[in-house]
Amino acid sequence: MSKPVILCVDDERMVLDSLRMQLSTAFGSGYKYEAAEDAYEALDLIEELDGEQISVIVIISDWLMPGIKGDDFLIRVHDRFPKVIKIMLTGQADEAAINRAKKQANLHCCLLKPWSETELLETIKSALSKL
Amino acid sequence: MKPVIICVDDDRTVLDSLMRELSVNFGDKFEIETAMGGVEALELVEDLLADKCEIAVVISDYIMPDMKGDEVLKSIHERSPNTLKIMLTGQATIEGVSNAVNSAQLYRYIPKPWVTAQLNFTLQEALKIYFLEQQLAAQNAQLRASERRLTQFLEAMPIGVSVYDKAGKTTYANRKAKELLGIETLPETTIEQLSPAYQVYRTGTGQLYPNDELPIVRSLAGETVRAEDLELHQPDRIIPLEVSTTPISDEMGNISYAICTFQDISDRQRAESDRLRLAQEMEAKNVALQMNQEIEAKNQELALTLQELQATQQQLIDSEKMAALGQLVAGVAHEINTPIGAIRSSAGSISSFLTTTLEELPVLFQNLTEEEGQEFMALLGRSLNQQSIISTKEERKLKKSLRNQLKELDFSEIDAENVADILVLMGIYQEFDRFIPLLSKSKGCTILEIAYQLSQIKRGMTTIQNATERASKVVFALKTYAHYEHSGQRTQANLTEGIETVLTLYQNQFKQGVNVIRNYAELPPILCYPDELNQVWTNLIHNALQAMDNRGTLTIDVTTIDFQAKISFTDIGKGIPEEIQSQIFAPFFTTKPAGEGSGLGLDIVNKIVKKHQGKIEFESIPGQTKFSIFLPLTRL
Repeated sequence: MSKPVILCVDDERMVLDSLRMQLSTAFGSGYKYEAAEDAYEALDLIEELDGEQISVIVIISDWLMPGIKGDDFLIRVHDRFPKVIKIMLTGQADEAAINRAKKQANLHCCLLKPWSETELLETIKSALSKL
Repeated sequence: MKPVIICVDDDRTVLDSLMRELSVNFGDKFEIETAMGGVEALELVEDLLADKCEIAVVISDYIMPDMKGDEVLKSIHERSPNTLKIMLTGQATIEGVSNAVNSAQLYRYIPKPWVTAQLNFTLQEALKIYFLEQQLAAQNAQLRASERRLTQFLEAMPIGVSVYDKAGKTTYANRKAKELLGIETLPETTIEQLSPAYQVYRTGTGQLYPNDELPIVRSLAGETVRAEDLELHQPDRIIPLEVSTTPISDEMGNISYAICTFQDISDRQRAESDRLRLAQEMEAKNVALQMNQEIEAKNQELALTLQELQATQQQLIDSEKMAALGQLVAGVAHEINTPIGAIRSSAGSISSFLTTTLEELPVLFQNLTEEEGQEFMALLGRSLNQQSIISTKEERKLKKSLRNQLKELDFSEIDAENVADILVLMGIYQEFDRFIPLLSKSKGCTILEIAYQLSQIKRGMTTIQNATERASKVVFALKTYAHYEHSGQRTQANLTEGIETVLTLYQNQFKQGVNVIRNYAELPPILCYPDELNQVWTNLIHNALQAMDNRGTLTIDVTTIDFQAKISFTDIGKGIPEEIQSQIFAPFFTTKPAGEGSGLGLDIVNKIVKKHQGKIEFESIPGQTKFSIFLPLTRL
């Protein structure tokens, strides 16, 4: 049985790198930390992991990305994997998009960049406790 | 001085009795003189005439020794024709009386002896006639004088006066008339040919005046006429006339003459046309003056409006700039918040690593052999020197292949996965064979973990550096963009730097799918208003992005052409419909829904470009819209 995956999606490599570092430091080797630079890559990855019987339990996604935007991406994921906990992490809050994600993707929470470590970790912990 | 009655006789008695009788009856009004004989009578007459005396009557005897009465009377008549002559004689011959009648205009003959009453009566009658004649003569003289004066007046009159009889013959023409008619003597004219005779034309027609319509001809038929449509054509000039003609009737009421007065009105016409011209000029001057005043007033009003407009325009430019900035701020916030998030996160992680790793390090090194220690340092060194960044996808590929290789080297499933993941994250995925012995050891994983954590510090630092750079770049761009140059002075600036500033601010919008191609030629700094040009670039880039719905290719070409910098922004958007191409630079023209665009963007772009003595051009077809700005390459 492989470790469950926490997936970070952001077009900014610096965000991905720091998130992975932060999460692995906080949650250690109990989870696997994956990163995708856009929604397409993320969707492919989720399908691929699903094929390998690896489940993605939390997705932390940026909103403003080339190609598919965060809300659309999370809605698509939600259609296939409704149980995945979805968190949005964005520097540009688009109310309409957040509301959409809340309604159609059961968005767990929307965090604003620059995020605080505590807030991020608490959010994820609260999400994981739901499982 | 009384008029004189002279009695001539050679008989003293007769003279005395005449003297007596006449003195009684006429002495109060007349001087009675006597002369003894003809010679004395003639001498007396000479004296009296020399004394300017009037000789009213001479009564002369006929038979006298020195001269006969008829001779005396004849001589007196020659000297004083108005004197009445009476002959008083007892023996005159018929011949003598008739001589006196013929040559001396004898008034009466009274025979001697005379009857006093008859003499008195005759004398009274004679004197009456004398006085009547005197009166008549005076009147005639007066008449002649007044006629002469009248003629003088007529001649002196500054208008032409001419008189025509019923047949059309010119009977009189004054000096002025002759001058105007161009004649010296009166020509023989008939009523049928007055027009050709005097060359009378109808004004402005170049044709002889119809003879029967001539004023003078009409007046000869009884009309009083006034006309101003006549011209006299003289060889050297044309004289316009004002003519008045009046019929003159005799006592019977029959028209016998017609009088014509006429004058040269060329002066008057000239004066009239001068007056008209002057009046028109005056009017024109007044109108011009009034217009000048109105224009002056309007000018002042316009100048004022212009000032207001310029102020408003500056406000508009500023507010448009702020509006554009407002649109950017949301994106800019993202641009700043992202690196700050990364910095904060990385800093936190580094801090944790240090806390945990520093505790573990001494223990680790105590347990490592010298050789193992060297391997550890080599592993860490490789990771720290790793510069290249690979995509997350590539990462996964490498992890997978590395995992498989490790499994072949008898690593357990879990170890293979952990080691592969860490090595790839550390950037060690080539030539890792040398580390296999180290990693195969029981504490291999711990050693790797510590090396990984130490390398993470380095990577965290790199992330912080990159993020700081990103954030400063955005802040700098924002500062540059929002900067207000109030001095109004041009400064030297690099155009491509300005464009890059704007591109930085738009960075997050490009993310959604805009590929920016930069073809920048080397360009010297130019003298310009850099802030305002940034506004130009912002507008054009913003429009291009909107035209493409934030997806596509934006090509920016910077070249020099004919001593000008040419900056072109080409998008692959839907293009500008031909029907609105002519309006896009108009202020407040916008294709965006109400409230989304000020409609001032391109208007302001145009104004700013003009302020730089540059020009803006565009060409647009669906799929390719290119805005080009030309700016003169002005150096200091």
